[in-house]
Amino acid sequence: MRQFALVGLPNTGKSSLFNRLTGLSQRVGNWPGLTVELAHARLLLGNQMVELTDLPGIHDLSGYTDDEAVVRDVLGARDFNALVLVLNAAQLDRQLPLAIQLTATGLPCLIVLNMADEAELLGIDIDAAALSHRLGAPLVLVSTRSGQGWAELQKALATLARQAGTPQRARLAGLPDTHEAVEQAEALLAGVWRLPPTLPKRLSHRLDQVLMHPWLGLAAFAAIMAALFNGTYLIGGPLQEMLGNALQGMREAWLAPLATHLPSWLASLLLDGLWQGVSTVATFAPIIFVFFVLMALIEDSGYLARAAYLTDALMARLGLDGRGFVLQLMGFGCNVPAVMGTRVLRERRQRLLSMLIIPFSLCSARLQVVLFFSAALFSPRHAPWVLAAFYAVSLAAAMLTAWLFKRRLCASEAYLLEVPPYRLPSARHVLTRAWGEVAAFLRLASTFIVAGVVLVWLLTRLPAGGYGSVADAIGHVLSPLLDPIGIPEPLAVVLLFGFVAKEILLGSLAVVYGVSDGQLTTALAAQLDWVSAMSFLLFTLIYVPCLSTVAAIRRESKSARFTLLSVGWSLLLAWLVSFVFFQLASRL
Amino acid sequence: MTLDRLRAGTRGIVTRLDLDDDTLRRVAAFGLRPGQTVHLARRAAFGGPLMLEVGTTQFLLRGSLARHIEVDQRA
Ligand SMILES: Nc1nc2c(ncn2[C@@H]2O[C@H](COP(=O)(O)OP(=O)(O)OP(=O)(O)O)[C@@H](O)[C@H]2O)c(=O)[nH]1
Ligand SMILES: [Mg+2]
Repeated sequence: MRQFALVGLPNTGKSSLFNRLTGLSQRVGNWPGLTVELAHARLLLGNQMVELTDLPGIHDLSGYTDDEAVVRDVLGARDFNALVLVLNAAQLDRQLPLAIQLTATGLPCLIVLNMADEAELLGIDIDAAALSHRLGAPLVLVSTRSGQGWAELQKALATLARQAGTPQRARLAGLPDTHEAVEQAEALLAGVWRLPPTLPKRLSHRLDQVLMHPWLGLAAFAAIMAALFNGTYLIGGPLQEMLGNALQGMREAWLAPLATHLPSWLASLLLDGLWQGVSTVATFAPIIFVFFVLMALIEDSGYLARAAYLTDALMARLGLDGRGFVLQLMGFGCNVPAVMGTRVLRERRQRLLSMLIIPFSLCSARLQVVLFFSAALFSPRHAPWVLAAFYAVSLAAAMLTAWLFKRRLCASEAYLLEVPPYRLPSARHVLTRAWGEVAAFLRLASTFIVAGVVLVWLLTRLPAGGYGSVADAIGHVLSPLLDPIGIPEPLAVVLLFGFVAKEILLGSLAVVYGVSDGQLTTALAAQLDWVSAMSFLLFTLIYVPCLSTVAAIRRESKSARFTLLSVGWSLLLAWLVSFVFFQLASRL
Repeated sequence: MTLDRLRAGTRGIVTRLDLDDDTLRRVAAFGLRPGQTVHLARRAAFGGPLMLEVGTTQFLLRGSLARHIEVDQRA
């Protein structure tokens, strides 16, 4: 089988081309991070089977920065029959140098000038035949979007597949360096690729007048972010509830009757443990789906680069950049997709720093807990202020963390970000993207949660001598830690449940106080003074959001050590904040 | 003068880049190299990034980096 690789600068449409050629709907990132997996697919070109590999975008082959290293590693370690270079036809002045370097690797190359539609719109004059002749390589002008030039592309690919000899390793030593490549490219382009003397004003420019305006831009940014969160919960929230009810109904109608024949411990493990845990995770699926539909719309439109522009000044002081701010806001919806969203960052250290602060975003699950407590303990007049204060604490915890860790995790690379023209997102891409995220989330989080749930179930069921259950014993053991922050011993179990998911937290509080969800408000007000309650809430806000987030951090960082650091730091910070609060407030 | 001093909405021709090799390569990938005309499209508030245009490519660059790039101002 022939081996072809798709290579080119970021955002030139490699993944779009890959999807259109292979008919796949595999999610291949629009802004890949360093950890983005390579995508492979087989397709028939002419009468040859070809395996096509989609690589992350690169700027330059002679560099040794992290993102280029991925491509260098693949090219240096695997044999290919040919490279398919994807270039933005409207940006050949800066993109052709990469083609010069790649054609010098000794591998046969096919040059694909993509985005012919945009080049035409800009009035760019391209003599494809002459350019192909000068480069000494076949060249096609296509638009993956409109399908222009598609037949020629298919023909050129088939020819390439037919003529391909034995696969070879790319020669990466002795390539022309950036300077040489740039000079050669300039000479090659003279007379065959011409920009018009003045570029036509595009819609993009007019939109940016507003969206990148110093203060109108910030207002628009706030409106778009508000639409993102509210949209997610307005649409996803009811869907989550419906799914939750359906799963609950299934449990009562089918599973509970079946389980009556089982020994009671097994029935409890299966129903209260496994089923409850897995279905709790499953109910997040609609929220994640809706969130990623909206995310993909924003991402594919090109708006993220504008948001990064607006917030960069603030984030620079925290060792991050503008994209990190966008992710932090997204965490207010749900931390899990925000952690997954760090894929838009290229540099690993920036991704890690972002992942470290995202868990402090007050997500909707914790919002429920905060709303519940403030309604139970404060007058309706004060409750909204309590909520606002918790959002402030959430942002402060994130900023403090970024500030503390920025020295260790600060990115050193130059911050250069292409601001692409606005593009209309394709519905198919948006939907497949969202579905792909949901599937990945369910696969991983469910395996992770099954283990966690079984463990928590065991803790609360296994008797432990004089202390009641193991969980009670744990509460007793943890009391030296909990007493200084004013959290009563029985609530240790609740915090353990909260580790799995904050959604379980209210339910487990009800178990601890022996009341149903409905009567919890009165029970809380009777049993907890406000200082202890606030301390408990602060702890709940700051410590580990949920197992799903930990799983997402583990998966995205690919590092157990970093995951431990993230968990450990949030526990420590939560304890310190609660400690300071409780010690001060109880002395008032 | 240096690129970060350029007024928003004006153009300059790059004359010199005082950058290390690695950064030089990264900015070259966006078309910033001697002899090129850059258009400073806009500048973010509070010392935020500059939005530059070289040819048809628009990109962000921080002022701290732009300080190391010399340009000749054009009308
Ligand atoms: N107008 C136009 N837009 C295109 C065309 N091909 C791709 N796009 C858009 O360009 C953007 C980038 O496309 P991708 O396929 O994600 O680019 P990529 O090369 O895989 O990008 P990286 O993975 O970041 O390297 C998307 O918004 C596409 O919808 C085209 O021919 N014309
Ligand atoms: Mg891609």
